Amino acid sequence: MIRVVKASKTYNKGKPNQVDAVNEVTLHVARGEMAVIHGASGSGKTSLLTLIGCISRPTSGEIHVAGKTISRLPEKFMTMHRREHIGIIFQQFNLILDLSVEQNVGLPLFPLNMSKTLISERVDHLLAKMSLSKRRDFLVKQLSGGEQQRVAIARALINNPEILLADEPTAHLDTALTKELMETLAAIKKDARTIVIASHDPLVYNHPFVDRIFEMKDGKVVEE
Amino acid sequence: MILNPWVISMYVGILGMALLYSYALTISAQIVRYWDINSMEEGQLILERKSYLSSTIIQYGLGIEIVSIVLFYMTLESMAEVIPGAMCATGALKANMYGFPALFLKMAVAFVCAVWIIIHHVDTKLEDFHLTRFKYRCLFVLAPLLLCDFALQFLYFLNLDPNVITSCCGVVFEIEGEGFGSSVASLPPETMMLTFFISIPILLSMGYFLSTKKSPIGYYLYSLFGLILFVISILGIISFVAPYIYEMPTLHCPLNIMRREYHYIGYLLYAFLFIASFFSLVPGLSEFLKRKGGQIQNVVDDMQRKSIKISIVFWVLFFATSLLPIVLFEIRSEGGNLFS
Amino acid sequence: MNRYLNLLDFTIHSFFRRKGKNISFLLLFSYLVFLFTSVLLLTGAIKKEAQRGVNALPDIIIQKLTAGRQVPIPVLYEKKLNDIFGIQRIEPRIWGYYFDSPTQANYTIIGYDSHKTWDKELGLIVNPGEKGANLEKGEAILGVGVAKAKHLKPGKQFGLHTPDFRSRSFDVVALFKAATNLHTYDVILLSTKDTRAILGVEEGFATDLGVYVYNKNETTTIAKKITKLLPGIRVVVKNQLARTYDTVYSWKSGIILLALVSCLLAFAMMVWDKASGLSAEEKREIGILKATGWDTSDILIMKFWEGLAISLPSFMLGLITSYIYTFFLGAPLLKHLIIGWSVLYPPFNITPSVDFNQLLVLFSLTVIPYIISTIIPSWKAAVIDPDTVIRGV
Repeated sequence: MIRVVKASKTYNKGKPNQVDAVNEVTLHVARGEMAVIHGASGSGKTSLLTLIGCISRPTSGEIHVAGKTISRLPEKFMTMHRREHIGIIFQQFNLILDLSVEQNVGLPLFPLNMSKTLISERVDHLLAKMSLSKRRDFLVKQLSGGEQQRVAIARALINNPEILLADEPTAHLDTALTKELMETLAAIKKDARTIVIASHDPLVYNHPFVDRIFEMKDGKVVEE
Repeated sequence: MILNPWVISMYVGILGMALLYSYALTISAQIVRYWDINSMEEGQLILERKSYLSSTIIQYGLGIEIVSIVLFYMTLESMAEVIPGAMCATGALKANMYGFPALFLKMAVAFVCAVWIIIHHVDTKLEDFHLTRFKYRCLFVLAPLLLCDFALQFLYFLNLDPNVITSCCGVVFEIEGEGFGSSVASLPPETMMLTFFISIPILLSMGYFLSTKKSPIGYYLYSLFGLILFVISILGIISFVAPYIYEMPTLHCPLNIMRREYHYIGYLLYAFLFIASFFSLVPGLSEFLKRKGGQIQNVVDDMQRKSIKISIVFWVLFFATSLLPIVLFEIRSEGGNLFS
Repeated sequence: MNRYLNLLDFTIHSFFRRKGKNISFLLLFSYLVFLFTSVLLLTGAIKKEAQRGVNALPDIIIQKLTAGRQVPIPVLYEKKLNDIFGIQRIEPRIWGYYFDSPTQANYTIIGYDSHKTWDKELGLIVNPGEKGANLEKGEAILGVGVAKAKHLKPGKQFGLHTPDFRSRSFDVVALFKAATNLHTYDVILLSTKDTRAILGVEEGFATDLGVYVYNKNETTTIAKKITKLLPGIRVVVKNQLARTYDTVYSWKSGIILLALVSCLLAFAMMVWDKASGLSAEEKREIGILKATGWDTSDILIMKFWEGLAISLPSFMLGLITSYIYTFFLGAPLLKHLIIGWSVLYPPFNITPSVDFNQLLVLFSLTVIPYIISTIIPSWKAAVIDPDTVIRGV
């Protein structure tokens, strides 16, 4: 499902502040697996996720995601590929605080040629699943941390993706909520979805459902 | 030199667009020079993003050019009150040698913009940006046209002398006169009508054939026929549609039909005609682009079919609109013949 | 299609989320539209009014000049022109200016021959219920301005002097309607006989001759023939007058618009500045949208809608306020600027009229520059790198 071959991402190349965020990383995740990228902050986890998630393009190397080579794709087609196959849960949730829960979750569907009623059907369905139905018309800033987290997950799942990426999803959660989140992710995995989580939380990488753990340091995968 | 609100508004629009176009051209130059689809460098990414800007500018540009054509026509109408001898836009155009060239050039600019947008549309569907360099090279064709457009318009207004007497459309499109306008007007209306209305079934059957079968030659023929039909339609408007609208067998002016007295029917007529011609161009042009190779093949088939459908709809609308004044006249005159 | 609607929906939501900023901007823009519209509507209305005045004139006016000054013309000249083919009729006109010393003002005295001219028209321009179409000896119809200056109303009397210093008294039988102020403000309408007496135009002479032709397209040709038949005579063609009016008012409004264009330029720069100076919050939002699957072109569409969401309501608001200002309030201040730089000019009611052409010109003078100046800033916003938002840089 995900195959990364010697991919590198260098920021500010040739300038004094050059950063090798990802350095010749090679990894493989099969369909239906849950993988964790583990490492200290600044080790390049997020950058690697943005590469897999078609948000940025590698400086060198090759990346294949969901049956397509994306390392040389123009931005527009990366976006289209991401829309179809990938859902992402971001570190700080990245929700738009003064929009309603419904709109936040439906956001990824707006640019698609989908009618309003269809979008709101899908959103309702997902909100029910995430037990957020009562919060439908609330503004996101009125919600608690745990609820915001669930909104972020719902948004990541709205396009029914084969691959779910999560960047430090538990950073702002307490133990109880973290456990709850892992339960949710485990349930998602059962739908034959591939999940990649970047995290340094032991509650995450020690979870029984995790199939693979990649250890990252200074932009390199040092251990699998 | 004439200064009035119409002239000023034309300059405001065209100056703004000229600035943007020149910016778009510098971007095109960069793209033609440094474009390298295989590069993974930051520079290539920036070029990809910049290409969004120049294509956006051209798309807005087409819109503004169309508004500017309508505006040019209105300016001419307002001029007609000032220029001795001119009673309508045609008269104002004849007031000096720059009038008609300016109008034709404006239409050419709109046409080139439209063709460019078709190429651009195909290109945005290609994952390997196969046409990008080609399309930005094409953009340079637009530069001299726009420059001339701007210059001609400026010269036209600069050289308008309220003391020189011009001729009005009655003279330009007179049956017994000389020159292009007159020879069009003296085309026999019955023959023109026949040609005009024989074209409909031909076009419809061509469209039907192409919607069931893929045929490269068919696509070329369809676009060619679209162009021919465009010319026939303009001639038809001058030779018999306009007289029916005015209900005067000797009045052939193709511009006055846009006046309020005739319920702005001209705007509708020309809008349908231009949209129909535009979409008729798509099949042939994209067939031509196929020869550039790459993944174009897969992308354009759908486009060709869709644009044939759209063009047929608008051709039918156009024909219906041009029939309307004739039908109305027949009803009112109980089957009389305008030209006998 | 759905895509565009969804994006529009989102844009409108965003518009209301930033109410304060957007609405103050909207008001500013509509003020600018208001200025442009008022100038254009007012000139349009004045041109129409002037045109109407010109339409009432004969197609050709013939005047006699002696030593470069206009003198009464012998009515007999009429006979010489009878042979010219295409002339409908010729009318001697008697009128002139009269200086009234008590009020220190100049009035226009026009002779009215109830048997010949204006018969039906007079009923239309005189206040109803008063004197009809006949004007007898010793009777007068006054323009509003004259009545005001001399404190007169129908039923009262006033006096005028003949050139040989005799005083004559007239009954005011009616006033012109206020709607015709532009043409009748300073007019005193008397019977032809009385006019001759007051202005000193002898029988057999007229101030000028008005020529009406059958086919308006032949006016110029006929005017040329008249010049040939009566050398040394001044021939004024109506179209020339109409054209002069048109040019003068177009030119004036052009100058004012040119001044406004500089405002427009300043405004465009402000638009540019506002659109490119995205707040950190807006940048973050666009980054989020792009990371969740919005493409650059989607953001561009959203920005296009945003431009329309501001400019169209502003345009409408500017139009409506300007319509009220011009046609209901009579365009105070601006009117003096355009009609003449003099406060003495007659007040008149402006007849409401707006046409499609004017709307298009206004649109291209205001909305199009606005849209043009948002293109580059919108693009800048649209290509924000989602990567930077995700990594929190």
